[in-house]
Amino acid sequence: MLSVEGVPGPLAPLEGSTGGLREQADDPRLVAMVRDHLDFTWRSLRRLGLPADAADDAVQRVFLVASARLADIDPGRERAFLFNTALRVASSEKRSFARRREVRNRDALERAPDTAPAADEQLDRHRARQVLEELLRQLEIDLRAVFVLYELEELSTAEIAATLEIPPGTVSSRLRRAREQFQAATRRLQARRRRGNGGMR
Amino acid sequence: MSDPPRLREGSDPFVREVIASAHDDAPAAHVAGRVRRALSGGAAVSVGATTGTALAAGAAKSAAVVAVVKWAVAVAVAGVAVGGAGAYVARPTPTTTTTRATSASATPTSTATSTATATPAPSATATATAIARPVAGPVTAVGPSASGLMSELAPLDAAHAAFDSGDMDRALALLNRHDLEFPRGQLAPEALALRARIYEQRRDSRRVLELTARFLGRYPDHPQAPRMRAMAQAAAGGAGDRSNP
Repeated sequence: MLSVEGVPGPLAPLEGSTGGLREQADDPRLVAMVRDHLDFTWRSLRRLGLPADAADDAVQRVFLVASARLADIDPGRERAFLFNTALRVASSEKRSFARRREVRNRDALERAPDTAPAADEQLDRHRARQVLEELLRQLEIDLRAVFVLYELEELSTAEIAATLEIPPGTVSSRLRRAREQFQAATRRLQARRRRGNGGMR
Repeated sequence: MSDPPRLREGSDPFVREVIASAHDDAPAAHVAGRVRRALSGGAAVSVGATTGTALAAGAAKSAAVVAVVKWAVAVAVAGVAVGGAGAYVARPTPTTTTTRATSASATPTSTATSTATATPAPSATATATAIARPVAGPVTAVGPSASGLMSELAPLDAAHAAFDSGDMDRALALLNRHDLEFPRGQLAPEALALRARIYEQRRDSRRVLELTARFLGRYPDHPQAPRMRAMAQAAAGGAGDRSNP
Protein backbone atom coordinates (compact mmCIF):
# COMPACT_ATOMS: atom_id res chain seq x y z
CA MET A 1 0.00 0.00 0.00
CA LEU A 2 1.05 3.54 -0.49
CA SER A 3 2.39 5.45 2.37
CA VAL A 4 0.25 8.43 3.14
CA GLU A 5 1.69 9.57 6.39
CA GLY A 6 1.21 13.14 5.36
CA VAL A 7 -2.54 12.88 5.39
CA PRO A 8 -3.75 11.90 8.82
CA GLY A 9 -2.47 13.73 11.78
CA PRO A 10 -2.88 13.70 15.50
CA LEU A 11 -6.29 13.78 16.99
CA ALA A 12 -7.39 17.33 16.54
CA PRO A 13 -9.49 19.08 19.12
CA LEU A 14 -13.14 18.88 18.36
CA GLU A 15 -13.77 22.49 19.02
CA GLY A 16 -14.11 24.31 15.81
CA SER A 17 -14.05 21.24 13.66
CA THR A 18 -17.23 22.29 11.96
CA GLY A 19 -16.84 25.96 12.31
CA GLY A 20 -14.18 28.02 10.79
CA LEU A 21 -14.51 26.62 7.34
CA ARG A 22 -15.74 29.88 5.96
CA GLU A 23 -12.77 31.60 7.52
CA GLN A 24 -10.47 28.92 6.16
CA ALA A 25 -11.86 29.49 2.68
CA ASP A 26 -10.35 32.94 2.74
CA ASP A 27 -7.00 31.70 3.95
CA PRO A 28 -4.48 32.85 1.34
CA ARG A 29 -2.74 29.53 1.50
CA LEU A 30 -5.91 27.63 0.79
CA VAL A 31 -6.81 30.02 -1.98
CA ALA A 32 -3.39 29.45 -3.50
CA MET A 33 -3.78 25.70 -3.19
CA VAL A 34 -7.03 25.79 -5.10
CA ARG A 35 -5.60 28.13 -7.70
CA ASP A 36 -2.37 26.21 -8.21
CA HIS A 37 -3.39 22.63 -7.72
CA LEU A 38 -7.03 22.24 -8.63
CA ASP A 39 -6.32 20.95 -12.12
CA PHE A 40 -3.62 18.64 -10.87
CA THR A 41 -5.88 17.25 -8.18
CA TRP A 42 -8.79 16.75 -10.54
CA ARG A 43 -6.58 15.09 -13.13
CA SER A 44 -5.12 12.85 -10.46
CA LEU A 45 -8.57 11.74 -9.40
CA ARG A 46 -9.43 10.96 -13.00
CA ARG A 47 -6.24 9.02 -13.53
CA LEU A 48 -6.73 7.16 -10.31
CA GLY A 49 -9.90 5.79 -11.80
CA LEU A 50 -12.78 8.15 -11.19
CA PRO A 51 -15.06 9.20 -14.02
CA ALA A 52 -15.31 12.90 -14.69
CA ASP A 53 -18.52 13.51 -12.78
CA ALA A 54 -17.23 11.65 -9.76
CA ALA A 55 -13.97 13.57 -9.97
CA ASP A 56 -15.95 16.80 -9.88
CA ASP A 57 -17.39 15.73 -6.56
CA ALA A 58 -14.27 14.14 -5.23
CA VAL A 59 -12.09 17.15 -5.88
CA GLN A 60 -14.31 19.13 -3.57
CA ARG A 61 -13.87 16.50 -0.92
CA VAL A 62 -10.12 16.59 -1.34
CA PHE A 63 -10.02 20.32 -0.82
CA LEU A 64 -12.36 20.09 2.11
CA VAL A 65 -9.90 17.67 3.67
CA ALA A 66 -7.12 20.11 2.90
CA SER A 67 -9.13 22.91 4.45
CA ALA A 68 -9.72 20.93 7.59
CA ARG A 69 -6.09 19.90 7.83
CA LEU A 70 -4.46 23.05 6.59
CA ALA A 71 -2.42 23.53 9.72
CA ASP A 72 -1.02 20.02 9.37
CA ILE A 73 0.26 20.53 5.82
CA ASP A 74 3.89 21.48 5.74
CA PRO A 75 4.67 24.41 3.46
CA GLY A 76 5.82 23.11 0.12
CA ARG A 77 4.01 19.83 0.64
CA GLU A 78 0.64 21.01 -0.58
CA ARG A 79 0.68 19.08 -3.81
CA ALA A 80 1.85 15.93 -2.09
CA PHE A 81 -0.90 16.28 0.47
CA LEU A 82 -3.50 16.77 -2.23
CA PHE A 83 -2.31 13.81 -4.24
CA ASN A 84 -2.25 11.54 -1.23
CA THR A 85 -5.69 12.71 -0.22
CA ALA A 86 -6.91 12.19 -3.76
CA LEU A 87 -5.50 8.72 -3.57
CA ARG A 88 -7.42 8.07 -0.38
CA VAL A 89 -10.62 9.49 -1.73
CA ALA A 90 -10.33 7.63 -5.02
CA SER A 91 -9.51 4.39 -3.25
CA SER A 92 -12.43 4.82 -0.92
CA GLU A 93 -14.75 5.51 -3.80
CA LYS A 94 -13.51 2.57 -5.72
CA ARG A 95 -13.63 0.15 -2.83
CA SER A 96 -17.14 1.16 -1.98
CA PHE A 97 -18.78 1.44 -5.32
CA ALA A 98 -16.62 0.67 -8.25
CA ARG A 99 -16.00 -3.03 -8.15
CA ARG A 100 -18.73 -3.75 -10.62
CA ARG A 101 -17.71 -0.78 -12.69
CA GLU A 102 -14.14 -2.02 -12.76
CA VAL A 103 -15.30 -5.36 -14.03
CA ARG A 104 -17.48 -3.66 -16.56
CA ASN A 105 -14.62 -1.52 -17.72
CA ARG A 106 -12.31 -4.45 -18.03
CA ASP A 107 -14.96 -6.14 -20.07
CA ALA A 108 -15.30 -3.03 -22.16
CA LEU A 109 -11.60 -3.05 -22.85
CA GLU A 110 -11.79 -6.63 -23.95
CA ARG A 111 -14.62 -5.73 -26.27
CA ALA A 112 -12.94 -2.61 -27.58
CA PRO A 113 -11.40 -4.20 -30.67
CA ASP A 114 -14.82 -4.88 -32.11
CA THR A 115 -15.54 -1.24 -32.70
CA ALA A 116 -12.19 0.45 -32.38
CA PRO A 117 -10.23 1.79 -35.29
CA ALA A 118 -7.15 -0.04 -36.49
CA ALA A 119 -4.04 0.38 -34.40
CA ASP A 120 -2.24 2.34 -37.09
CA GLU A 121 -5.06 4.80 -37.49
CA GLN A 122 -4.70 8.07 -35.82
CA LEU A 123 -6.74 7.94 -32.68
CA ASP A 124 -8.72 11.00 -31.99
CA ARG A 125 -7.91 12.58 -28.67
CA HIS A 126 -11.10 11.66 -26.99
CA ARG A 127 -10.84 8.07 -27.98
CA ALA A 128 -7.19 8.01 -26.99
CA ARG A 129 -8.08 9.31 -23.57
CA GLN A 130 -10.68 6.62 -23.17
CA VAL A 131 -8.07 4.05 -24.04
CA LEU A 132 -5.68 5.59 -21.55
CA GLU A 133 -8.27 5.38 -18.81
CA GLU A 134 -8.91 1.77 -19.61
CA LEU A 135 -5.22 0.96 -19.64
CA LEU A 136 -4.67 2.73 -16.35
CA ARG A 137 -7.42 0.69 -14.79
CA GLN A 138 -5.38 -2.39 -15.52
CA LEU A 139 -2.80 -1.20 -13.00
CA GLU A 140 -2.94 -1.82 -9.30
CA ILE A 141 -3.60 1.39 -7.44
CA ASP A 142 -0.14 1.79 -5.94
CA LEU A 143 1.50 1.15 -9.27
CA ARG A 144 -0.94 3.44 -10.98
CA ALA A 145 -0.08 6.29 -8.65
CA VAL A 146 3.59 6.06 -9.49
CA PHE A 147 2.87 5.63 -13.19
CA VAL A 148 0.59 8.66 -13.26
CA LEU A 149 3.08 10.87 -11.49
CA TYR A 150 5.97 9.78 -13.67
CA GLU A 151 4.49 9.31 -17.12
CA LEU A 152 1.66 11.80 -17.09
CA GLU A 153 2.66 14.44 -14.56
CA GLU A 154 6.30 13.97 -15.46
CA LEU A 155 7.66 14.17 -11.97
CA SER A 156 11.07 12.71 -11.36
CA THR A 157 11.38 9.54 -9.33
CA ALA A 158 12.89 11.60 -6.52
CA GLU A 159 9.89 13.92 -6.54
CA ILE A 160 7.55 10.95 -6.52
CA ALA A 161 9.39 9.45 -3.59
CA ALA A 162 8.94 12.69 -1.70
CA THR A 163 5.31 12.99 -2.70
CA LEU A 164 4.35 9.49 -1.70
CA GLU A 165 6.82 9.31 1.15
CA ILE A 166 8.29 6.05 -0.01
CA PRO A 167 11.91 5.17 -0.73
CA PRO A 168 13.24 6.02 -4.20
CA GLY A 169 13.98 2.36 -4.79
CA THR A 170 10.35 1.54 -4.20
CA VAL A 171 9.36 4.19 -6.70
CA SER A 172 11.68 2.69 -9.28
CA SER A 173 10.45 -0.83 -8.75
CA ARG A 174 6.81 0.24 -8.84
CA LEU A 175 7.43 2.27 -11.95
CA ARG A 176 9.10 -0.67 -13.64
CA ARG A 177 6.22 -2.97 -12.77
CA ALA A 178 3.66 -0.37 -13.76
CA ARG A 179 5.26 0.12 -17.13
CA GLU A 180 5.42 -3.61 -17.69
CA GLN A 181 1.75 -3.94 -16.88
CA PHE A 182 0.83 -0.90 -18.96
CA GLN A 183 2.78 -2.08 -21.96
CA ALA A 184 1.43 -5.60 -21.64
CA ALA A 185 -2.11 -4.23 -21.60
CA THR A 186 -1.27 -2.09 -24.59
CA ARG A 187 0.09 -5.06 -26.50
CA ARG A 188 -3.03 -7.06 -25.71
CA LEU A 189 -5.19 -4.25 -26.95
CA GLN A 190 -3.17 -3.79 -30.12
CA ALA A 191 -3.18 -7.49 -30.82
CA ARG A 192 -6.92 -7.64 -30.49
CA ARG A 193 -7.27 -4.70 -32.79
CA ARG A 194 -5.09 -6.35 -35.37
CA ARG A 195 -7.16 -9.50 -35.17
CA GLY A 196 -10.30 -7.43 -35.41
CA ASN A 197 -9.01 -5.88 -38.63
CA GLY A 198 -8.06 -9.00 -40.53
CA GLY A 199 -4.55 -9.13 -39.27
CA MET A 200 -3.62 -5.73 -40.58
CA ARG A 201 -1.69 -3.45 -38.41
CA MET B 1 20.89 6.80 -11.27
CA SER B 2 18.94 8.69 -13.88
CA ASP B 3 15.29 8.26 -14.53
CA PRO B 4 14.29 6.08 -17.46
CA PRO B 5 12.99 7.71 -20.64
CA ARG B 6 9.30 8.38 -20.51
CA LEU B 7 6.89 6.44 -22.62
CA ARG B 8 5.86 9.54 -24.50
CA GLU B 9 9.41 9.60 -25.84
CA GLY B 10 9.27 5.98 -26.93
CA SER B 11 8.99 4.52 -30.38
CA ASP B 12 5.43 3.24 -30.23
CA PRO B 13 3.13 5.83 -31.85
CA PHE B 14 0.09 4.25 -30.28
CA VAL B 15 1.52 4.65 -26.78
CA ARG B 16 2.70 8.16 -27.53
CA GLU B 17 -0.75 9.10 -28.72
CA VAL B 18 -2.43 7.60 -25.69
CA ILE B 19 -0.05 9.22 -23.24
CA ALA B 20 -0.34 12.58 -24.96
CA SER B 21 -4.11 12.46 -24.69
CA ALA B 22 -3.80 12.80 -20.93
CA HIS B 23 -2.93 16.43 -21.32
CA ASP B 24 -6.33 17.17 -22.80
CA ASP B 25 -8.12 16.09 -19.68
CA ALA B 26 -8.97 19.05 -17.50
CA PRO B 27 -11.79 19.98 -15.17
CA ALA B 28 -14.64 21.99 -16.55
CA ALA B 29 -14.52 25.67 -15.81
CA HIS B 30 -17.24 25.48 -13.22
CA VAL B 31 -15.39 22.99 -11.04
CA ALA B 32 -13.12 25.61 -9.52
CA GLY B 33 -16.10 27.72 -8.58
CA ARG B 34 -17.79 24.78 -6.96
CA VAL B 35 -14.73 23.97 -4.94
CA ARG B 36 -14.51 27.53 -3.71
CA ARG B 37 -18.18 27.59 -2.85
CA ALA B 38 -17.86 24.28 -1.05
CA LEU B 39 -14.98 25.66 0.98
CA SER B 40 -16.87 28.77 1.86
CA GLY B 41 -20.05 26.93 2.62
CA GLY B 42 -21.97 28.72 -0.06
CA ALA B 43 -23.50 26.62 -2.74
CA ALA B 44 -22.23 23.30 -1.64
CA VAL B 45 -23.37 22.45 1.79
CA SER B 46 -23.37 19.16 3.49
CA VAL B 47 -23.19 17.79 6.93
CA GLY B 48 -21.86 14.39 6.19
CA ALA B 49 -23.04 11.08 5.09
CA THR B 50 -26.41 10.58 6.47
CA THR B 51 -27.96 13.93 6.26
CA GLY B 52 -26.94 14.21 2.70
CA THR B 53 -28.37 10.84 2.01
CA ALA B 54 -31.54 11.87 3.65
CA LEU B 55 -31.74 14.84 1.41
CA ALA B 56 -31.13 12.82 -1.65
CA ALA B 57 -33.58 10.19 -0.65
CA GLY B 58 -36.42 12.61 -0.81
CA ALA B 59 -39.48 12.96 1.29
CA ALA B 60 -41.07 9.62 0.75
CA LYS B 61 -40.05 8.23 4.07
CA SER B 62 -40.53 9.81 7.38
CA ALA B 63 -37.04 8.95 8.41
CA ALA B 64 -35.77 10.86 5.47
CA VAL B 65 -37.71 13.89 6.53
CA VAL B 66 -36.33 13.62 10.02
CA ALA B 67 -32.85 13.46 8.68
CA VAL B 68 -33.48 16.36 6.39
CA VAL B 69 -34.62 18.33 9.37
CA LYS B 70 -31.26 17.62 10.90
CA TRP B 71 -29.62 18.79 7.76
CA ALA B 72 -31.66 21.92 7.57
CA VAL B 73 -31.04 22.76 11.19
CA ALA B 74 -27.38 22.22 10.75
CA VAL B 75 -27.26 24.37 7.67
CA ALA B 76 -29.24 27.06 9.37
CA VAL B 77 -26.87 27.10 12.27
CA ALA B 78 -23.64 26.71 10.52
CA GLY B 79 -24.00 28.37 7.21
CA VAL B 80 -20.88 26.53 6.33
CA ALA B 81 -19.95 23.24 4.83
CA VAL B 82 -19.78 21.53 8.13
CA GLY B 83 -18.94 18.26 6.51
CA GLY B 84 -15.37 19.41 6.71
CA ALA B 85 -13.13 16.73 5.45
CA GLY B 86 -15.96 14.28 5.57
CA ALA B 87 -18.36 16.46 3.74
CA TYR B 88 -20.17 15.19 0.78
CA VAL B 89 -20.65 18.13 -1.38
CA ALA B 90 -23.02 19.25 -3.98
CA ARG B 91 -23.61 17.26 -7.09
CA PRO B 92 -22.17 19.09 -9.99
CA THR B 93 -25.12 18.31 -12.20
CA PRO B 94 -26.97 21.56 -12.59
CA THR B 95 -30.35 20.04 -13.26
CA THR B 96 -31.47 19.64 -9.73
CA THR B 97 -33.96 21.88 -8.12
CA THR B 98 -32.26 23.81 -5.44
CA THR B 99 -33.92 24.88 -2.30
CA ARG B 100 -33.03 27.90 -0.35
CA ALA B 101 -32.62 27.73 3.35
CA THR B 102 -33.45 31.30 3.55
CA SER B 103 -33.57 33.02 6.83
CA ALA B 104 -33.88 32.88 10.52
CA SER B 105 -37.61 32.72 10.19
CA ALA B 106 -37.48 29.54 8.24
CA THR B 107 -38.23 26.76 10.59
CA PRO B 108 -36.28 23.61 10.20
CA THR B 109 -39.37 21.60 9.52
CA SER B 110 -40.69 23.75 6.75
CA THR B 111 -37.30 24.04 5.20
CA ALA B 112 -36.75 20.36 5.37
CA THR B 113 -40.06 19.52 3.83
CA SER B 114 -39.65 21.81 0.92
CA THR B 115 -36.11 20.68 0.39
CA ALA B 116 -36.98 17.06 0.46
CA THR B 117 -39.82 17.35 -1.96
CA ALA B 118 -37.77 19.42 -4.32
CA THR B 119 -34.82 17.13 -4.47
CA PRO B 120 -34.68 14.36 -7.03
CA ALA B 121 -33.42 10.91 -6.41
CA PRO B 122 -29.69 10.45 -6.04
CA SER B 123 -27.59 9.69 -9.02
CA ALA B 124 -25.98 6.35 -9.50
CA THR B 125 -22.63 7.99 -9.18
CA ALA B 126 -23.25 9.13 -5.67
CA THR B 127 -20.08 9.29 -3.72
CA ALA B 128 -19.07 7.32 -0.71
CA THR B 129 -22.16 7.93 1.31
CA ALA B 130 -24.16 10.92 0.54
CA ILE B 131 -24.34 14.07 -1.40
CA ALA B 132 -26.06 17.19 -0.38
CA ARG B 133 -27.85 19.28 -2.90
CA PRO B 134 -26.78 22.81 -3.49
CA VAL B 135 -28.18 25.46 -1.30
CA ALA B 136 -28.44 28.76 -3.02
CA GLY B 137 -27.15 31.65 -1.09
CA PRO B 138 -25.83 32.07 2.39
CA VAL B 139 -27.79 31.07 5.39
CA THR B 140 -28.22 33.39 8.26
CA ALA B 141 -30.65 31.58 10.47
CA VAL B 142 -29.77 30.31 13.87
CA GLY B 143 -32.45 28.22 15.43
CA PRO B 144 -32.63 28.03 19.18
CA SER B 145 -32.80 24.26 19.24
CA ALA B 146 -29.96 23.73 16.89
CA SER B 147 -26.96 24.26 19.10
CA GLY B 148 -27.19 20.77 20.52
CA LEU B 149 -27.26 19.31 17.08
CA MET B 150 -24.29 21.38 16.06
CA SER B 151 -22.41 20.23 19.10
CA GLU B 152 -23.18 16.70 18.12
CA LEU B 153 -22.21 17.33 14.54
CA ALA B 154 -18.73 18.44 15.49
CA PRO B 155 -17.31 15.06 16.51
CA LEU B 156 -19.22 13.33 13.76
CA ASP B 157 -17.86 15.74 11.23
CA ALA B 158 -14.36 15.20 12.53
CA ALA B 159 -14.90 11.46 12.33
CA HIS B 160 -15.92 11.82 8.71
CA ALA B 161 -12.82 13.87 8.10
CA ALA B 162 -10.67 11.18 9.61
CA PHE B 163 -12.49 8.54 7.60
CA ASP B 164 -11.93 10.45 4.40
CA SER B 165 -8.27 10.88 5.13
CA GLY B 166 -7.97 7.17 5.73
CA ASP B 167 -7.29 7.35 9.43
CA MET B 168 -9.72 4.74 10.65
CA ASP B 169 -8.29 4.63 14.16
CA ARG B 170 -8.90 8.30 14.58
CA ALA B 171 -12.34 8.05 13.05
CA LEU B 172 -13.23 5.34 15.53
CA ALA B 173 -11.84 7.33 18.42
CA LEU B 174 -13.96 10.28 17.41
CA LEU B 175 -17.02 8.14 17.04
CA ASN B 176 -16.41 6.72 20.47
CA ARG B 177 -16.19 10.23 21.80
CA HIS B 178 -19.40 11.12 20.02
CA ASP B 179 -21.21 8.13 21.48
CA LEU B 180 -19.90 8.92 24.92
CA GLU B 181 -20.95 12.54 24.79
CA PHE B 182 -24.23 11.95 23.01
CA PRO B 183 -25.51 8.54 24.07
CA ARG B 184 -28.97 9.46 22.85
CA GLY B 185 -27.85 11.76 20.12
CA GLN B 186 -29.96 12.79 17.21
CA LEU B 187 -27.24 11.66 14.88
CA ALA B 188 -26.85 8.22 16.37
CA PRO B 189 -27.91 6.53 13.13
CA GLU B 190 -25.32 8.50 11.22
CA ALA B 191 -22.65 7.60 13.73
CA LEU B 192 -23.58 3.95 13.59
CA ALA B 193 -23.54 3.97 9.81
CA LEU B 194 -20.13 5.55 9.76
CA ARG B 195 -18.88 2.99 12.22
CA ALA B 196 -20.08 0.23 9.93
CA ARG B 197 -18.32 1.86 7.02
CA ILE B 198 -15.09 2.03 8.95
CA TYR B 199 -15.18 -1.68 9.57
CA GLU B 200 -16.10 -2.22 5.96
CA GLN B 201 -12.95 -0.40 5.01
CA ARG B 202 -11.07 -2.60 7.42
CA ARG B 203 -12.66 -5.63 5.78
CA ASP B 204 -13.91 -6.83 9.11
CA SER B 205 -16.99 -8.60 7.86
CA ARG B 206 -18.03 -9.87 11.24
CA ARG B 207 -18.19 -6.39 12.71
CA VAL B 208 -19.91 -5.05 9.61
CA LEU B 209 -22.58 -7.70 9.97
CA GLU B 210 -23.04 -6.84 13.63
CA LEU B 211 -23.27 -3.13 13.04
CA THR B 212 -25.49 -3.26 9.99
CA ALA B 213 -27.84 -5.66 11.78
CA ARG B 214 -27.98 -3.26 14.69
CA PHE B 215 -28.60 -0.36 12.36
CA LEU B 216 -31.36 -2.12 10.45
CA GLY B 217 -32.94 -3.29 13.66
CA ARG B 218 -33.08 0.19 15.06
CA TYR B 219 -33.60 2.27 11.96
CA PRO B 220 -35.17 0.10 9.28
CA ASP B 221 -36.68 3.07 7.45
CA HIS B 222 -33.67 5.31 7.65
CA PRO B 223 -32.42 6.62 4.31
CA GLN B 224 -29.17 4.81 4.89
CA ALA B 225 -30.92 1.51 5.45
CA PRO B 226 -30.57 0.39 1.82
CA ARG B 227 -26.88 1.08 1.97
CA MET B 228 -26.59 -0.83 5.22
CA ARG B 229 -28.43 -3.76 3.68
CA ALA B 230 -26.07 -3.73 0.73
CA MET B 231 -23.10 -3.61 3.06
CA ALA B 232 -24.51 -6.48 5.08
CA GLN B 233 -24.97 -8.55 1.96
CA ALA B 234 -21.46 -7.84 0.82
CA ALA B 235 -20.09 -8.62 4.27
CA ALA B 236 -22.06 -11.85 4.42
CA GLY B 237 -20.38 -12.86 1.20
CA GLY B 238 -16.95 -12.26 2.66
CA ALA B 239 -17.58 -13.24 6.24
CA GLY B 240 -16.72 -16.85 5.79
CA ASP B 241 -13.23 -16.29 4.57
CA ARG B 242 -12.22 -13.06 6.25
CA SER B 243 -13.64 -12.60 9.66
CA ASN B 244 -14.09 -15.88 11.35
CA PRO B 245 -10.82 -17.59 11.80
